[in-house]
Amino acid sequence: MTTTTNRSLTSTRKPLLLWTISWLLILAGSQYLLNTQGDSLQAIEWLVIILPSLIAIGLAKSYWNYLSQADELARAIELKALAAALIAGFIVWPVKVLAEQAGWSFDGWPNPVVVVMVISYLSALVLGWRAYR
Amino acid sequence: MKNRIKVLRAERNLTQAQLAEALGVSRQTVNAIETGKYDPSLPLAFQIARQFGLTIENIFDPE
Repeated sequence: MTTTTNRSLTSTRKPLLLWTISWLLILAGSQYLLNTQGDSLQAIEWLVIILPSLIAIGLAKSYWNYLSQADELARAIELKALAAALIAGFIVWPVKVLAEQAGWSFDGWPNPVVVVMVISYLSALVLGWRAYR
Repeated sequence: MKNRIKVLRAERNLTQAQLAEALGVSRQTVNAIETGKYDPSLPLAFQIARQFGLTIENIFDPE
């Protein structure tokens, strides 16, 4: 049986998932275009740069809607996941700065701080839902 | 925190999903509260008590 809450959660989860996928695709596409076609893109360069930000605004609004509809357990798990991501960021960011000062280069990589934050957030989400299952 | 929700629910022939719908939460939340893995907020505890026509103290035991 599908509950009203589950239905409303599903109705906010799907747009969130779609916005997230769209943002990742647009971001990857923009990066690819700027890296490979940079010189021939001058006329629409601003669009390629701004488009991911516009999609990110939609993603943020969708995430806000999801949190508004989520019940208190879902919010508690989200809060812990966001805290895990923030703490991971605080730990990894100075390490990255020090590593760069020591001569390490992260060029060509996705920002390692963001990668660690995303992995921490997703891991905490999965662990949270498993713990309360 | 221990609670009697599972027993009270069974006495009233309610499934977790039905209780969840009545409370406006997900089935996972009802399950987590029943098994003592998650302590509900005070408003939700009052809502649960009202649902069963009991007081919070009759349902939840802080041990």
